[in-house]
Parts: sequence; structure tokens; C-alpha cells
Amino acid sequence: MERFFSQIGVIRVNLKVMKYWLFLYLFCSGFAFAEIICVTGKIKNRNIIDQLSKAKSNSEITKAIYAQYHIGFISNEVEQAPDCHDCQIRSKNTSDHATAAKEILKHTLTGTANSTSQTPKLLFKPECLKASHIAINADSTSTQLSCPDGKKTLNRSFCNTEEILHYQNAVISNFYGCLKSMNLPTLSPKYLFKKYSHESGFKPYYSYSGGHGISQLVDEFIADLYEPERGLPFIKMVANSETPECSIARKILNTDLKSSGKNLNNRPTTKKACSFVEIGDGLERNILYGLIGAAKIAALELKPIFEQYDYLSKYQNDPHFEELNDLLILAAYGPGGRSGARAAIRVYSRKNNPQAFITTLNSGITSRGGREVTRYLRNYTNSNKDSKSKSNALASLLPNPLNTEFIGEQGVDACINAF
Amino acid sequence: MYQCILIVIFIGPMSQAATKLNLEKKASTNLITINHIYKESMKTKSMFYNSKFDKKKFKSKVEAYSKSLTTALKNVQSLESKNNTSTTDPIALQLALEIELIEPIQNLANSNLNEKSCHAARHLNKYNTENDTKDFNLVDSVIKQLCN
Repeated sequence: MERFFSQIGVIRVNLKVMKYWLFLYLFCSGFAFAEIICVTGKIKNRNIIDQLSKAKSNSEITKAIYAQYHIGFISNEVEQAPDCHDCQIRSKNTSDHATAAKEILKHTLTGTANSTSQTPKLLFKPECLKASHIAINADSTSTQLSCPDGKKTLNRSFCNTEEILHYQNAVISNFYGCLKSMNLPTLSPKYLFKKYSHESGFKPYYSYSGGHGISQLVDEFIADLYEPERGLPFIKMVANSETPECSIARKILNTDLKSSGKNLNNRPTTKKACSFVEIGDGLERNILYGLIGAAKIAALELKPIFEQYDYLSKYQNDPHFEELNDLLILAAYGPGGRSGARAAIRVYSRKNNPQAFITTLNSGITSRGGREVTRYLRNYTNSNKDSKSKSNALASLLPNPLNTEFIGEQGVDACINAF
Repeated sequence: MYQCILIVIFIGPMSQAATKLNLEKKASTNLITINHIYKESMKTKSMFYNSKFDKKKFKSKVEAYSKSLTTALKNVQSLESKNNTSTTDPIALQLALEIELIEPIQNLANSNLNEKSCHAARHLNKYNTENDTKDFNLVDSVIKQLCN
């Protein structure tokens, strides 16, 4: 009898211990679950989240970006947030970097960290990226690629977290910095923001009529980057660069060049769509190729025609020239846009200074034969009704004073960090 | 003195009106000429793309067509600037587009017509005319005649 009661006692004690463990488990998993907040999409569709966490441990590229930009434990938000209670909770649950996070956060909170000098700057303000992502994807009916199987899906709205947005911002900033360090002019940050906003709304798995991912790359565009007398010298230039800013870009390009083979028959192709979408090297390849492609357009397609008409000698230092160049890069970026952009320079550079040329492009130009040269560009200007409503939606999601700056004279410039 | 007043009152405005009329007439003549140049260029285009190409005469044919387009664009732009108008911009733009479209053929004409140059010409045509089947087919038909 005594033994029987002592056994009940053991069970009672065990139950107590179990209850404790159960409580601890629920408490911790509760925090871990609270950690994942979808900016867009549904929490049950964890495709992108799972791939990011896989890439964090498997991909050299993702690891390098995380290390350089201190993602997951320190960001612009942490530095700027007036109340860091939430940051502490977040950092405790970021398992991969928990110890380092605590350390850095401790320094940040006590003000002893010198993080700004160590962490490279992000090109876009995180609030803008988030607002653009929400505003553009408000309807969330866009098709997305499901990776690794590569099937398009309309019904599953993948969960995109702030961490995923932050990661994209870091990748764009890194590759932009790489091209800048090599004096390879690509799109200006303002137009890059507009481009990504309109192409995909920073939705990395977005896929639409042949275009894939954040930059909506089509196969002709990639093929052109692997043509020996067109894009290939640009790819090789970055791959062979010695600047430390290009260390991550080099990893992607050298792997791609190696696997393309001598005759480039196995070059990257959007036929394997996930290789331009999947986090780890796909999303990153997408961003890098988009940026190098834009640099190629500026140097190979536009510059020679500008020079032919002595436009550069006259206007290269004009305050509006950069914007004109951006608009023409975008016009050339669209399908079949190259010939249209170059034809526009032949016609309008003769009689227009950059400001007047910009006005002409923004008002839209169509050739006698019916080719709308500015068709692709139309999506980026506020003369487009849809673009205007999206821009208004984006502005309404911005906190003040960003909202006032965005609506006011600064416009999209308000969303760009000085780089 | 009286005569001078008469000149100022009547002849002055009359000569101004005459100058205006003259300018308008000139502008309209220029416009007719621009349209004529465009029509002729389109005829030349049609003849060029419908002609048969062989390796011997290929280069000279391409050079002649390219020169005709460049001259047409120059003439249109010069007449346009005299008129000080942009109403004929679509014509100039179309001519400039034609110059761009023949670039793959021009590159081919300046090459050894080997496999590499044929591939490059096909690629550039595809890249230039994506979403524009009509123009793609025109240029492609020329490339096909020279690259088998």
C-alpha cells in the first residue's frame, strides 16, 4: 500500500515536471511563432521562409550577405527604433545568431556599438521597401513560382517577412555597391526602386508571362548577357574584378561561367526558372544580372549613340542627364526596347536638352509605323493611371516624415539612403 | 510724309501677312516633302526585304539601303528644323527605327558570314524585335538567305 502511494507520488512529481516542460515548450514556441509575421501572404505558405532558413545554413552567398549586413540581429530599424523592447524579443529568437545578436544589441542599447561604420548602408529605406511591397501586392493574385519544383501557382500566397525584405535590400545594396566600385554605371537608386516596385513589388517569387523574379528577367535578356560581343565582357569584367565590394557577386558569376562550359551552351537560363528566384543563389543571380544588364545597356547601347550625336560632350554634366539616361535604360530594358531607345536618341537628341528630352519621353512617343517606343517606360511614370494609384497607395503606408517627403518635392528620392 | 504714313498703315501689315503666308506655304511644302521622303523610304524598304540576296552583292546592297535610310532621316530632320515643328517626329522615329533594325544585317555584311557571325545576327535581331513578329521576320528572312 505504501509502495502504491509512493508510486502515485512519483507520477504526481512527473506530471509536475511534464507540465513545466509543456509550459516551457509552449512559451518558447509561442515566441518563436510570434517571430514570423507575414508582411504579405499567408503564414501557412512558408515556401520562401523555409528556403531562406535553408540558405542561411547552406548558401555561401546568403551567409556572406547576412554577415556583412548583420541581418537578423541589427538593422536600420533596430538602430532607429525608439523602443527596443521588441527588438530584444526578436533577437532572442533569432536562433542562428543569438549570441552575437545579444552582444551587438547590448552595445547598441548602451550606445557603445560602432555598427554604422561596420555595417554597409542599405540602398533603400526599409519603411519604403515594406510600403512598396504591401501597396503593389495588395491584391495578392499574382502568380508565383513554387521552388524547387518550378511550378507556377496562383492560389498560394507565399508569406514574405520583414527579414526577407531586408535580405533583398541588402543583396541589391551589395551588388549596386559592387558595380559602383567598378565605375559601371547602372540605374540610379531612385529608378531601381521604381523598377523593382513595378516589376515585382519586391516579391522574390513573382512570375509573370515569361518574366521571373524580382527583376522580371526574360530569357532573351540573359542570352544577351552571354553573347561574346555584347553582355559577356561585362559579366567577365565583374567576375574578374578585384574590388572587395564585388566578392559576393564574383561567387555567383564565377560559378555560372564555370558551369556554362567553353561554348556557353550551359549558360544560366530562365527555363530553369528557380535558378533566378530561389533564395541562396537564384534571387541573388536575378538581382545581379538585372543590374549588370542595365549597366550593359548604358555602356553598350546608349553611350555610342549619344556620342555619335555629340550629346555627351554637351550635356553629360547637365543636372537632368542622369535621369534621362535612367529613362532610356528602362525603355531599352523592356522587350525589344533596345532599338526603340536608340532610335529615340537619334531623333530627339538633336533638338532637345535633357530636360526637354525627359518631357518628350514622359509624354510618350510612337513611331509612324505604330511602334510605341515608350511602352515599357509608361509603367514607371505617374502619367500612367495605374502607376499613380500605386504610388499614392505606397505613400499612404509610409510613416511621417517620410510620407510628407515622398508626397512633396523629394518623391521617390525620400526612399533612398545616401550611398 | 503722307506717303510714309500710307506705307506704314497699309504696306507694312500687308508685307507681314505676305511673309506669314510665305512661311506657311513653305512649311506646307516641307511637310509634303517629308511625307514624300517617308513614302519613298518605305518603298525602298519593301524592295530591299523582298529582294534576293547572294553573298556577292550582299554587302553593296546593304550599304546602299543603309545609306538611303541615313540620308532620308537627315533630310527629314533638316526640313523639320526649318519648320520648327515636332509633328513629323513619328516619321523621323520610324526611319531611325529602320536604321536600328538593319544593324544585324549590317554586322553580317561586314563579317565572314561564318557560324559565329550568323548566330550573332540572329541573336541581335531577336533581341531587337522581341514582341514584334513582323519586323523580326523581315530581318530573319535576309539572314536565312545568307546563313544556312
